[in-house]
Amino acid sequence: MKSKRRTPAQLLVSTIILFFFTAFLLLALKDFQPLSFLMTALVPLIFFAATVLIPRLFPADRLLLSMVNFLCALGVLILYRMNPKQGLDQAVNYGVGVVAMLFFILFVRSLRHWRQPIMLLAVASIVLMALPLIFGTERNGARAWISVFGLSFQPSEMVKVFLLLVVSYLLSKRNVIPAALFAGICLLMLMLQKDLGTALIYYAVTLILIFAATRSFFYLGAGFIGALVGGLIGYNMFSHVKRRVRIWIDPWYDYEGAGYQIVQSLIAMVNGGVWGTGLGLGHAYDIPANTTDFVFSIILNEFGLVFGVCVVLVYLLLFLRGIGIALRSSSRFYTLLSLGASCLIALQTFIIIGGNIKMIPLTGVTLPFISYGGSSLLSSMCIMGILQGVASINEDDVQEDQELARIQEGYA
Amino acid sequence: MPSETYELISLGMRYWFVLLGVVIVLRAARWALQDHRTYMRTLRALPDAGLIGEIVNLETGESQPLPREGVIGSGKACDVRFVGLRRRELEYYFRDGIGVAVVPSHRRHQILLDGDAIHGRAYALHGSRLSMPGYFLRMRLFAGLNLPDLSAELANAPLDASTDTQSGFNMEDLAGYGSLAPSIMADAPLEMPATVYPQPGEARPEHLDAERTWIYAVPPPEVFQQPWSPEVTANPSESQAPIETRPSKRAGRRSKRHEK
Repeated sequence: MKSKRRTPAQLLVSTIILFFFTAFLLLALKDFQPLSFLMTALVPLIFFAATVLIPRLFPADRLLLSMVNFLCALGVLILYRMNPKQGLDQAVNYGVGVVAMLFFILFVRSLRHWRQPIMLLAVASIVLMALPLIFGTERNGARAWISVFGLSFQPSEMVKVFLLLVVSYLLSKRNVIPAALFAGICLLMLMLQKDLGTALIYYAVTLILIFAATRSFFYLGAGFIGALVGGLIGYNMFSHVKRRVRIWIDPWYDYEGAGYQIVQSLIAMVNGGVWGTGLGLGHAYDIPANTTDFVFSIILNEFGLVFGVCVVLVYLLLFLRGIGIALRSSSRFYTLLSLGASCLIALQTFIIIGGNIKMIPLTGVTLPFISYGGSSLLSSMCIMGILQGVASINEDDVQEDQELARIQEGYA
Repeated sequence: MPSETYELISLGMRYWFVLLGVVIVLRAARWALQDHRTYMRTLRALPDAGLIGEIVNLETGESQPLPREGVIGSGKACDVRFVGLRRRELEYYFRDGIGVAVVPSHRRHQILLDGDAIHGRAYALHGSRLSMPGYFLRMRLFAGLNLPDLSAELANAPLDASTDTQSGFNMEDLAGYGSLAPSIMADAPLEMPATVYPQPGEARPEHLDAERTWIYAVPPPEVFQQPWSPEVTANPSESQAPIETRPSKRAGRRSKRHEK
């Protein structure tokens, strides 16, 4: 009897589930804790629910969904291996993130008149950005955090999503100056918070969107010159920027001080080699901020270079998929929105992975979907929700066109 | 589990994880590729996908597809290109239920929509005439024909004195061009809304022919030998003061290059 051929979706989802099942089972065999066995079942289950059930509710890009969920589950795995408490927190964040993604898919799909919500979001962004300057607490040199009822979060992460929506909307209406002004205000507040990594992402995404909307090389050139001037001013104004450039050029000049992080990261990556040290056998504990900024070093340490390249390729596929969604969009706003969303994730990934492997100076941003942090994961999932929403609208459009073509065939 | 045993298992499992990682990437890439091919095949089967109609050059009979929104001009990046216009002459976007919003890119322009100058923004409908420096164009839409006011107005309009109050052109003259067929529209029963299409296999009501604008062939050029002669032109002011065709220097250079 001829067996039924499985679809690419089934093949991919089953492989990913197998990966996480065996990985968590291996960790459970190490400590024989009930929680570890629970995670062995729980994480593949969340992955399955998020990947298979969402597309049954409305048309969604299942490949994009699979890749995002793969990265999120990988984050839970790495964090659980490093610190079970953080892993559990991240699993909860992942669940909340899936709900947030669903909300944004519905938000993008159902909203037809964007003007009023966008204006509200613009005001909310400025208020949110001002909050850390008034009530914020300083962490790692940046005053970007606020605490509400014992829960601390980074408003700039949420504003990232709002910025995307507001700037895309304004540019879709060809309001370049208001869009640049809004992004400029957000950037200024980020500079005051000394959160330079996020500021870099805001700047680059706004520049890309302005160029995509206007196709003007003048704006692009002005943006590059502005970045150059801003970089020089930042270099001369902030001592920690100078330090980071110095340790980027030569991390060994102060390997026990400023360069400690990057040196430990490089050692961990080299130690991992091509195949890795083995899950649960790595020594990446010595890297400071190993679950946030340097999570990619842990991946390279325990899973090896080949797997690390695979992770980068997944991000690349995610980016290309996002560009594909942008190209298929029927409206200018959706095109800019999906382009901005995919560029934002790609830029953030490039900045942090580039910083980890000493390709560019290190800036304190998180690796999307993988790094520990509720705000970061939530904002990344919201951005994916936006992208999924646009993909869903595209799918509706194609179905509508097909329906019209079917009617045409009926006529003929 | 003893640490030595775990170490042994973990060291062996790392190849398994790498293998799964590679398989995940390959399968994802294959899926993406397959999906792209399917999408392209779908697009090939739907040549009108993403389009709202076409824009016809009334002098040559040439038509260009009209995406839902875009820019008309001579620039390379324009969605609809006409040599001789400014780099970005006009921006337009389709608004469901209203029509095609046309917004000149420059404050000082020579663009007329159905004979009227555009101040800020105007809405073009199916059959609207767009006059630009050196070009007389007509919008031929297959989206947005279900505008309730327009269809009702067309259906109610008497054939002998049918002057469209919205756009100011003469309906009888337009009937001569074939593509618009307002006389057929006029026969449409009011109780049948324009959006209701018969299911495949059902008999096709004749009045729906007016909606199927994409089946109309481009009229032969001889029809447009004198497109805006006083007999045809609806707007008297337009016939009295024809638009001066002054292609820009850059456009002139480009057209010369084309000639070479």
